[in-house]
Order: sequence, then C-alpha cells, then structure tokens
Amino acid sequence: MQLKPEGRKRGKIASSLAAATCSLLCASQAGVSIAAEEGSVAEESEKAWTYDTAIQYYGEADRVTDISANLLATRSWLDGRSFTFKIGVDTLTGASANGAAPARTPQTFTGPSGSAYTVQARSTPLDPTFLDTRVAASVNYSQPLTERMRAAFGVTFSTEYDYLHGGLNARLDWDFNQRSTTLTLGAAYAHDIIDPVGGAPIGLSDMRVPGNNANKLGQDSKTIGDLLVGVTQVVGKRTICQFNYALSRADGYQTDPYKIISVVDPVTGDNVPGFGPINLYLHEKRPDTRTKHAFYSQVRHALHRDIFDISYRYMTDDWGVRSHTIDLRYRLRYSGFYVQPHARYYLQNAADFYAPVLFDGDPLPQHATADYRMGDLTGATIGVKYGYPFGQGREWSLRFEYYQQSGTSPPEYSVGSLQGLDLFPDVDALIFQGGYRF
Amino acid sequence: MGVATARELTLRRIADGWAGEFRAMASPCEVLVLDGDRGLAREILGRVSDEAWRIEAKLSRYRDDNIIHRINHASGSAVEVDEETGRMLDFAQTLYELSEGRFDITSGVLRKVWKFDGSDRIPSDDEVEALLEQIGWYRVRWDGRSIALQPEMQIDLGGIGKEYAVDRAARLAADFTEVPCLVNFGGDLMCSRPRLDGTPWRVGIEQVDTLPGAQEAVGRTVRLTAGGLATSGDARRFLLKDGVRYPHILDPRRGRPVMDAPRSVTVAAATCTEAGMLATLAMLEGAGAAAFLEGQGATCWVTPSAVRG
Repeated sequence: MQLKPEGRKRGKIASSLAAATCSLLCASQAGVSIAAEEGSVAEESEKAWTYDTAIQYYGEADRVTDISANLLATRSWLDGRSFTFKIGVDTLTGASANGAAPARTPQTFTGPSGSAYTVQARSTPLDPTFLDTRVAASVNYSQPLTERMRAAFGVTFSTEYDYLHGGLNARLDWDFNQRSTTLTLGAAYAHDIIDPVGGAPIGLSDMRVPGNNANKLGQDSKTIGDLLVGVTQVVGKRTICQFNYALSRADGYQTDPYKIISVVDPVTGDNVPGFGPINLYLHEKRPDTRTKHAFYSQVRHALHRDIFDISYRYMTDDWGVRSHTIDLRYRLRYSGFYVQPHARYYLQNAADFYAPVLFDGDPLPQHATADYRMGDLTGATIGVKYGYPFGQGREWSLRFEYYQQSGTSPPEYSVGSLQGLDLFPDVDALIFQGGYRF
Repeated sequence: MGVATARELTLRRIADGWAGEFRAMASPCEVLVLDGDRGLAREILGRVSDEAWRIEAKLSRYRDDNIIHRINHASGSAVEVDEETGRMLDFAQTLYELSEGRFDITSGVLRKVWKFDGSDRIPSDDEVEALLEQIGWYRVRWDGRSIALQPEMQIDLGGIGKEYAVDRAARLAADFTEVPCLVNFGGDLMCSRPRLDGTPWRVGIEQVDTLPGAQEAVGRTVRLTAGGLATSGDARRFLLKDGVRYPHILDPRRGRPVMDAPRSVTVAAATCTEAGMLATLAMLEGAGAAAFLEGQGATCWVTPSAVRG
C-alpha cells in the first residue's frame, strides 16, 4: 500500500529529522559551517526560539561607566522565515569631557541643567553630571522570496532622556553562481529627535551663566538615509569574502549640545573673560548635512579547526573625517570550548572644523568642535573571548577587552600656557561581557 | 566479469547516458549519468566511488585505522573527533531522542548473541541481559567535540553511513555537473537534479519475499522527480525457531527483535538520509510502522510482514 501525504502536515519527528539531516549534510559546506559557528544559522529543529543574552560592563578610567543588558530572541521556521526581537537597556554614569581645554587656573562651567561646576587647574574639564538610561528595541522579519532570494524588513526604536530614534530598514539577499555568491542590497531610514537638557544651544553662541537660557532653543531633529550594496563570495570550501559599500546621508541637527570650545588668548594661551563671571566658551556647531562613504571588506577562513577572521573598513565623509579600521579575530577551538583573541586598530583624521581651542580675535568659523572624537586619534583594542558551547547551539561566553585611545592636538594650538597642558588626554577603558545563548 | 571486486569501476551504456558501477558498503553501487559523454561519466563515477569508499573506510567497524576503532577501543577515555564525525554523532543523538531510544548506535554489540544467519539459535535471557549493560546512548559522554564510551561499549554508524554516503555523493555530482545523476547504493538512492525533460526518474525497488519456499520477487516501479528514496527491511536476515520468525531488527532497549514489523518499508523524502531514517524508525515501531509513517505524512510503500499469493 502506498500512503500519500496529501493535505497532511508533516509530523513532528519528520520535521525534526529533516532539520537534523540538513545539519548533517549542509554543514559540509564551509560557508554554512562558519555561519553556524557564529550562531547566525538556526541549525536546530526542536528549538523554535533561540535567545542570546549578554551583560556588559564598559568603564573608562575616571570617566563614564556603561552597564548594558541585551536580549536577542530569534524565531526560525524550517521554511527559511525568521523573526528576531532585540531589546537592550544601558545606563551611562560618570563624567564626560565637555570639550573645553585645560587651563592653568581653575575653570567654572554652566552645566546643561543650569547648575555650575568647577574643574581644577591643569585637568581636563569633565562634566560630572552625566547620567542617562537608554532603551533600544528592534524587530526584524526575514523570508525567502524565491529559492535564491530573501527579503528582510526591520523597525528600530530607541529612547533616552534627551533622544528619540525611530527607523525602518529593508534588505534583499540574492544568491547566484550556484549559491557561492550572494548579492545584498539594503536601505534604511531613520528619524531622530534630540531634546537636549535645558534646550539646544545656538551654535557658536557663548556659554551663559546659570539661569540665563537666552541662547537655548527647543528640540531639534535629524533624518538619516542609508544605502548598502554588498557581495559575499564563497571561495573554495573554507573561505568567505565579503565586500560592502555603504552610503549614508544625515540631514539636520548633528551638533553635540553639551560640548563647548574654549576661547583663548592667541599669545598667552589663557582663557579670555566671557559673559558675566565665567570665561568665554562657545557652544560647538557642526554642519547640518553629512555624507559618508564606507567601504568594508572581510575575509573569513576556516582552518582545520580554527577560524580566522580579518576585516578592514575605510570611511570618508564631507566633514573631512577619514578613518581606517582593522579588526582581527582568531578562534582557537579546543575540545569543548574555544578561545578567541581579538585585536582592533582604528585610525582617524580630524574633521575640517575640529579645533581644540579657538583664538580670541580670529573670525568666528562657520563650524567648530573641540570634541576629541572629531580629532586626530587612534584607538587600539585587545581582548579575548572564551566560549563554551554545549550542544544544540547553546553556549556561554566571557569576553574581556582593553581599549586605549590616544590622540594628538595640532601643534599650532599649543600656545603660551597651553604648551604644558595635555590638550588630548588618553582614554583607557575596560570591557567585560558575559553571554549566554540558549 | 560478474561480481565487481574491491575498487573496480565499470561503465555501461544505457539508453540516455551511462551507468557507472562499483561495490562499496557490502552493496552494489551505481550512478546513472544522463549524458552521452563517456569522459564525464567516468569522472563522476570516480568522484562518487571515491566518496563512497572514503566514508566506508571512515565508518567501517571492521578496520583498525579509523575513528570508529579509536572510539570503540578507548577504554573509557574521551576521543576527540573530526567535524564530520561530530555531525554524525549529533545526528545519531537526535535520532536517539526522536525515537525515544529505539534508534541507538550503541546497540551493535547485540550482534554478539543475535546472529541472523537463518538458523534457530535464539539467545537466552541471561545472555541478552548481560549485553544490555553495554547498550544505551545515555551512557555515552558526547559534548560536541569529544566522545567517551564506557569500556566494553561500541558504536556503529553503519546505520546512517550508507544513506549519508548517497547524499554526499549526489551532492558531489550536483556540484560538479549540471547533468542529472542518480546515485543508488544498494537500493538507497538520491537524484542530484531533476531530469532535464521534467519526467521522473523511474526506480525499481526489489522486494524479495523471504518466506521459505516462496522465492518470488515482488518488484515495483517508483517514480521519483527529486529527492531520495530508501528502504529498510529484514531482507534475508532472520532466525526461525518453532515456526516463529525473528527479524534482524532489534529493539536496543530490550535487546530483542521488533516483532510484527513490515517485511520492508520504502520512504521517499527530500534526501536519502531523511528517507532512510524515517524507514528505519518506522521498522522499529513494529506493527505500528504504517501508522507511524502515515502520522509523519511520509510518502512511503509498505510491504506487510505476511505476503500472500
């Protein structure tokens, strides 16, 4: 007798078996095995949902501390559809550089919320009132369109005390060349609303004494559009290469409302008096548009047991910022666990309008920032991750990283009393992360 | 001529291409290549047979130079396995769980007392009980990278190996050429691609009735457009005592044959492995085999245990 499956759903064992067979057979392609190693391929049949959880500590010496908790839940169907939900909460506390230069005398500033604070002579001015909690969530749905094409759509959202972000994104992946090549097209749109504490200051206006909000405006906003074109190529059985080009255009308010710039005497290097009892500091101002081009390439190679991963990213924008990022990971797999050393190096040139201080008497520039993140800087990260997979995609992991950022201030700014002061102090940070996937 | 000996390849012209033949895994193996190019057929046959022999050598429990031997002779210590063996062990574990212990790659030691040679030697309860101590996947420590058996235990991946080899070979053929091929190792088969004209592959499944005095071949032609096909049956291997036929399919939980299973079960599925495992799990259900397959929505052909006519 022949039993026909017409109109009948496949039983639980048959579906589980189909998925297990796929793991058995498909994993012999290197590409899939690397992907599975990274946990991005839902390999198990019996578990419809997988969860990735992590708790992370990021601490800069004497500056900010960020503690974050993240959850990523993925639902996969055997027909290739998948749904992900991601939520993260993080709390930032501590002090953050306000942009002003150190001085040989103590300096008094007006905090965003309207209270004054004083910084010791010769030390980097830090705004001690930094505290924020951010909640970010996103959902993403992906589905095969044809046997060789997949589409994904997502919505992103995040909120913090002074910031609200909402975004949409879409992505299309197309496999061809016997599935060894994948072409990816992506687009994203976001609208962000910035509602700074105390209002958004008018760019390059003076920092006022506490209580004077004459130069503060209300909230502002920006829109960001992104386009991405990428190619992923499987080379042989053990190597995957990826190349991406991403274009990003942001329109609207991109200034940091909490950053200021010292105005100093061009000869003595000392602060000049300002409005009322405080020195002259200007609120920074950045252009309203920014167009970025980013080129990214990555090679992942599976050795006998280990996995080697190297990537390089080049970014350039119309603010004059250019950056290079090199990232190396090497996963050493042992019986029952893996160890993954990680090194990353970042090199950036300053934006055209970066200036650690402005000189009294010079014409007011169109745009200016003293934010060290817009300056000439290098960042180096070294770290190691330890992972303990224990079957069916479950894994716990620990990650430890050390980050050091250092920068240089252009020599023409080291005038007078500024010569003996560090206009660009190093930042050291430690990162600990514990993750659990089940 | 006739029976192919080890590592012998033969090519034979067929109506729409070439049939390559060799022996592996104690079975006649064949790959049909739907193209007139003899050189192409020879190359595909070479690749398919190399893969079959590679897997046979790797999984054979009759060799002392492979991973199975190392695992089975580790005297209780852990043996680190390669990635492919690891995937097979994961797969075996899934089957163990899905079948609630009926499918168990540690059950091979039962062969020490159950010798299905057509004789009437049925082992005693004591003999079976003693062996049950050495059976049970739950006694195995497998962490995804290394495996440790208790001393005296053994694993045998032969129950998965042939179907796996068929799928691997079909995939090699598909990766190598656009020409449709059909890989058939001893009746377990998989097509690399659909035929170009859209017509199904026509596959004969031979079911030999093994009741004494009824050496009648019950054949049937199956049409297969895509995917794989596998058969599980007790073929010629059984014991006969006091008119009771003991089939060679053993329930590892009791160490005794599964009674009242169909004579054979043929299943069609997306891959040969999937088909083979569904057929095997069905046989382990005994009299419930047909109901099991129906419940799984499987496309299947069941030959009942008592063939009449």
